[in-house]
Amino acid sequence: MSSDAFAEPVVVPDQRTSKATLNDLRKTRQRRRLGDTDWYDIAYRVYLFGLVGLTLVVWVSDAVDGAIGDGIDSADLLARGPSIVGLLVVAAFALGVRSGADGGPVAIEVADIRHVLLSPISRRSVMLRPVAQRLRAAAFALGLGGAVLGQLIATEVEGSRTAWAAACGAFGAIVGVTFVATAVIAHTLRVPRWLATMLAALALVWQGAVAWGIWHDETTGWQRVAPGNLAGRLALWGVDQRPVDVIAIVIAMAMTAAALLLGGQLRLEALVRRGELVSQLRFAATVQDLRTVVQLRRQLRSEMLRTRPWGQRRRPTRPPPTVLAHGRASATAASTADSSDWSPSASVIWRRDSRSLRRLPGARFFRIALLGAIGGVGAALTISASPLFGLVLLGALFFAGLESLEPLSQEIDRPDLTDGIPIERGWIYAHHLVASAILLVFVGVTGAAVAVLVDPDIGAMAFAVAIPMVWAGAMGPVVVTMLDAPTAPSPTTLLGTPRDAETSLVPPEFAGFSTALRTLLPVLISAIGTVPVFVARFADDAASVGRSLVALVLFTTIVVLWVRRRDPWGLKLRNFFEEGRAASA
Amino acid sequence: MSNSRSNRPQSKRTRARSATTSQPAASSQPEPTARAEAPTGPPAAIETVELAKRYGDAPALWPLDLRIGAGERISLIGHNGSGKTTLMRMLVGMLEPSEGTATIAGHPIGSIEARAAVSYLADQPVFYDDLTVWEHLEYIARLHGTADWEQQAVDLVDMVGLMDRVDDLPVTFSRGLKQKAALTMAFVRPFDVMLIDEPFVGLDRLGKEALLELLTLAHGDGATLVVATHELSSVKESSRLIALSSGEVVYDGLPADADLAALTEGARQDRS
Repeated sequence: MSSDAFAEPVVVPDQRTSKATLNDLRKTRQRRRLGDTDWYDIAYRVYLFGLVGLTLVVWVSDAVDGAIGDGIDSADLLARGPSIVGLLVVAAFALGVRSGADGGPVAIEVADIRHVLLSPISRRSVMLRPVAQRLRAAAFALGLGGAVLGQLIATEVEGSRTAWAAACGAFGAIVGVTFVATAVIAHTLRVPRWLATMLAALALVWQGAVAWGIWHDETTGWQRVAPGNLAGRLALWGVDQRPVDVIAIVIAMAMTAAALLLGGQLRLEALVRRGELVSQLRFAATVQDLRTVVQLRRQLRSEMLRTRPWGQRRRPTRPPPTVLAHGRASATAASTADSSDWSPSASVIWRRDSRSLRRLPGARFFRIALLGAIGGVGAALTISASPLFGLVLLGALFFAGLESLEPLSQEIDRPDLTDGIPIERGWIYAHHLVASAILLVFVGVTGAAVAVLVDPDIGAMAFAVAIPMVWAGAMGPVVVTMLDAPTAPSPTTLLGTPRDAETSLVPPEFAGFSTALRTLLPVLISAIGTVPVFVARFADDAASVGRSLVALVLFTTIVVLWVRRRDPWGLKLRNFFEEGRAASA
Repeated sequence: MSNSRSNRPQSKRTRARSATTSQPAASSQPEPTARAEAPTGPPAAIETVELAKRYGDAPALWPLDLRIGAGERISLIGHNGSGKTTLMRMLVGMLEPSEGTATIAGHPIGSIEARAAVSYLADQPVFYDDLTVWEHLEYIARLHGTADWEQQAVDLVDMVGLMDRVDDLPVTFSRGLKQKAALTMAFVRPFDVMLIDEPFVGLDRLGKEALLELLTLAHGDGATLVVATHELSSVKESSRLIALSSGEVVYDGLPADADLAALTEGARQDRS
């Protein structure tokens, strides 16, 4: 190289040229991506998605007819509905402001940060597209969801399907835009996390209180004003249109414009962190790895485990190095001498797990308790209002279980460490469930207390069924987690066919079905936990509920036994099949 | 179009290394050294005032006053977790300071002028999955306003021995080849200040030689270089040595005066 190779003067380039270069870069990459796309595969996926989606919508439309409640009075709906539906917009605001404080909602490639955002080019022009894409995606997804829900609602109330689909679609789009725009604005304004939590809580409490007051006819005039009412009223345009509700659309558009203008001020530090995590998150979502998705979402929220466990006042004092060396030597000698009659101690696992759970951050405990409360509301409303609320209960049971299984997750995510311990894997896994089961007791008690608050008629039964229910509901997440545990490698399936041969012969319809089944299986297992609630709704006698409870305990025991004996049972099953094949040959 | 160069009193070609106001002073080690003398003369290439970074409650970098003159060649050393990468990432604008301020060539860090002036070679190279080495070089050079970049790119690629792989995707490369590709990308664009984090990791002999030559050439052309490294043999090439320990400067002076082994030992002792 020449001696003045680096003597070129440093200048800030003309921004129009830089933008042209950026567009060039993006077009080149887009062309390449499109060139690599398998269009036949995409068309096939769209066809499958459309077919399954349409069938599902038609089926649910028929199933839902009358489930919410026949003869809903339109006047009553217009009076009470907006404040309740408005809770969704306020929830979007609450989630958005929290997401913004945590560095969300936009994520871009790390390479874009390193090579483009560190270049002398206006960051607003770079970030315009990612922010717009995020807004568009959220508006489209929730708009579509809203439209589907709207035409379902149309089967229950006055108004045409088209009008309801359009109104609820617009409402869904507003919810999506509210979430993303609020998050971008909160992010760029550097709203601290405590303030975001306060704002979110304030908005939710305000809207919730107004909705409660209107529902019980306890309020009039200004007491009925809440931030989500206009948008909530817009969702009911299927019945009646009121021009003033358009203000909700104007506000959403103003927020969109603000988010697009402020996009260039998103913090690079947060973008770097999110860029690294989101690529992993997308991959996990692509392979339907729900557990990893939840774990990465926690990391995206910067949810770190506590260095010092709850309840521990001081750092533990360590013995001096000489004592430690002596102690280690003694322990090694003792373990060698007594290796023949040595047996593992459950207290070691218990100590490790209790510390693991006591290291969970306060926000995680709050979330677990909230899931318990949501489950309680879902259970009470399933019994007293509509079986559709069983879905709320199921979701709460599943995610409360997933949140509580930290010790087992930690063990299964580090198989090398587990295999380094001279104890059967199943024994370790099963003992990790003890601490989580204790945490779930609190979830059950919280849920029961909330259920009694919502429907006092449930009474003591709530407390009797709650704990077995949350344990059984956690069995789905246990299965999800255990499916990630290592198994003895084998080149053939149980039927003796090579694994590669089997997968290559499966037609796409069945491959897709088995993937869907693998994703849904844990949720279906958790659904068993909701059985007592449905028995209480439809049978309505204590004896039937009691019998369902016994079945639940039995089911939980079987799953725990499977966790404990999975390896030997798997081996026995394989031997059984191999012996059968040998005999027939 | 704004020209950051027009704001400065000296051109790069005429910038004399002796013009720096922070000529390293021999100091006994590992006594912490404060270099907070009042700025005089031309704007420093890098200047920090009470620059600090905390991750939660854990301090990564204690308030730091640092002035690096234009044309200096700095070696930044320190144990793992001493704050080298944190300092570099803050200077380049990827991390936000918890306290304090910093400037690059007189411009606030992260500003468009500072981004034009500073080139950053990170410890972990990052590339687009779908662009070749050559395409990376093209876009990086053009994003920095360099129209006539091709000869420079050819020279760089040839120098690090990547000519045969220039049309390959760098994401498919080994660690060492990735580092070489990242090197070419850091040098293909104009810069006044170059921040380099652990540049020797994964490089073979040819790569190390090429890198040292590039650094010498850039320094000869008046660029300011800050190289964070554990490769103590390369420290002697620099005009000034800064050692960090647990987020604090424990040595700031001439490399020749530093007992590097004692300094790194001292850093560990400080921590304990």
